[in-house]
Amino acid sequence: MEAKSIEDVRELATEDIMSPWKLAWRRLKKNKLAMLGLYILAIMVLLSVVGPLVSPYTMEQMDLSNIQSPPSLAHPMGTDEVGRDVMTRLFYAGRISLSVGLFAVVISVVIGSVLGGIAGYYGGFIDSLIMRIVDIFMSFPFLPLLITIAAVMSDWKVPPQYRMFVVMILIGILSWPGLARIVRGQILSLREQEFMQAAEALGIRDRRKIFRHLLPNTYASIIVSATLDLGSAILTESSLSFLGLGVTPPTPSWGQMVQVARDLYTLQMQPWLWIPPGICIFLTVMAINLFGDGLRDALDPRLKR
Amino acid sequence: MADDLLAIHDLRTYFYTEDGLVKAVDGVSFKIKKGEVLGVVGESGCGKSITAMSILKLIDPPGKIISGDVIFEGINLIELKEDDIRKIRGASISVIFQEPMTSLNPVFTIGDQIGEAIMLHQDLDKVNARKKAIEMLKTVGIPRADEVVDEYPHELSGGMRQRAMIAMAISCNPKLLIADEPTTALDVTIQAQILELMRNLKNDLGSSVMLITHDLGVVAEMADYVIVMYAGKIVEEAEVVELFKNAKHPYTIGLLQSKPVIMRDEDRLNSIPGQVPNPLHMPSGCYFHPRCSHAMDICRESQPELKEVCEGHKAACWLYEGVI
Repeated sequence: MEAKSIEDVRELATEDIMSPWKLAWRRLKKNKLAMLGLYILAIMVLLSVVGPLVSPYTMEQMDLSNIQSPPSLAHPMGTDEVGRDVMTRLFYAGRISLSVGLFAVVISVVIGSVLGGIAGYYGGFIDSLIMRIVDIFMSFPFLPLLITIAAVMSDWKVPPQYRMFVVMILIGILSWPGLARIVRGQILSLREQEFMQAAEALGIRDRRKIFRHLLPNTYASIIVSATLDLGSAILTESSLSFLGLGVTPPTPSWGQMVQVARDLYTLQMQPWLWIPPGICIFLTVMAINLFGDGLRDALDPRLKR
Repeated sequence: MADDLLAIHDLRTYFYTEDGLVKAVDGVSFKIKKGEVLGVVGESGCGKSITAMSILKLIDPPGKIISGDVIFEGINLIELKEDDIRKIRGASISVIFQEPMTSLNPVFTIGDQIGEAIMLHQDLDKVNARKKAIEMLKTVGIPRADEVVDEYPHELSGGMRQRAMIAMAISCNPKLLIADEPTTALDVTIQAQILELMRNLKNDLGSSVMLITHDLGVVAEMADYVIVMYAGKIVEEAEVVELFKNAKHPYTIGLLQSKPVIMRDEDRLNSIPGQVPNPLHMPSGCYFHPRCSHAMDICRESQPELKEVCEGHKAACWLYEGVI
């Protein structure tokens, strides 16, 4: 009997051993708002991925007998000016908006953490050089640049499906400096820690020290910052597309679908065309921000209990 | 000479700080024989750790090794390129650090960290490195080694972490183990265990140990030969028994007296008056004279050299000038 209880205790003890990520996940689960954000985000992703597959219509299929029709059973969110199903396009637009945001963030995280890591680790001249590049990028006139590039793209007759990639890369390239600063700041203090001296005394190479020993220590901040950046990348894509500078028809994106509201008649008489994509943008970005804030709380080592 | 593993000659490591030049290590020479435990004793800031780090060229700016030779197995480490000395770090010479709490990277499991050095210096793949890591953990006396290997540093106690650090340091069978205050951060019972462990490992592996500490008890227990440092210089060196029995330099005598002895009936513990001199404004003459009860005029004027005061016992003090 006694032996059994010792066995139980041991089992409990092994169950208690958790990686830092599991601990963070457990804390995150307690945060209701963050979980709400996560659920909304999951639903959005699910709809965007699965929606187009189950929809009876395709993105470009025109129902000429039902042009600009209000919501009905056949078209739950109505049709647009050439008779395309708004709901189907909304799903497709979600794919585009979410993936533009995601890829932009991936690009920004890769550039930002690599350059931030290098700047923070080496310090001195290399640090100054990279940080001045960051300053330059941060003072770039973002909108004029994008307008110019959009104009050039139209001039070169870049096909619409490729424009999407240009937008991704541009947002990514223009948004890495913030992350680079965060990573650099953390690495600056991390590299003075004793475990880095220990790593050096083991004869580990610089590259390995930066990317294997230092960067993983900043993953928490990188993830939080990337999550919040995802929201702003989606917003940026929406604004650009709304202004006609980003994703162009016939490829839909949420921002580009809202564009129809520029026409006063549509704004007043056909709300089914612009309200759903507007709500999608709002909900997604809101969900990402809630989730990101929750993540920050969950990953903050100072809140460890 | 053949049994010298490491010979340091006139090592000088200076720090060019914003406030001025700090001579952290100022003309230090010593030798470590094969299989010997060398104790380096001194107060905080006397240059013990900097000396050790200079051996592996682990000095970061504003510090700089100005001059000196570090001959390890016939190779002068000071002249080696960064790429070449990296192959020595962690392989032939490895370091155990003072703070087991912060010397392990918090985001890696113990096994990953031990395995890293093994993979790097012994050309083993991941699976075999892991096996070796478990084996090393068993060697240093960690129970449930096959579970601990997947745990994170924060899940281990201080003593366990120091054991893991030692496992990491000895995983490549180093010829020289530099232990930088390995037991300072641990409580006394654990200290004794760790010292015991280090002594056993030293005997099994046949490596030499450079033991840096300010704890004379640790020195008495572990070391064969002792160096006493003060303000970047060696002030006295001798075999351990000789030094404890027959200390010459007033600083060493002061250190020995400031250690409690159970059988001696004393109301208060002796202490050395004054503080370690500001490294930016070293006193003239002997660096120790402002705190020395035997200070003479000559002590204020010029610096004594390290000379043999009796057989196998060197001290840098004017008191013994002309004894031999």
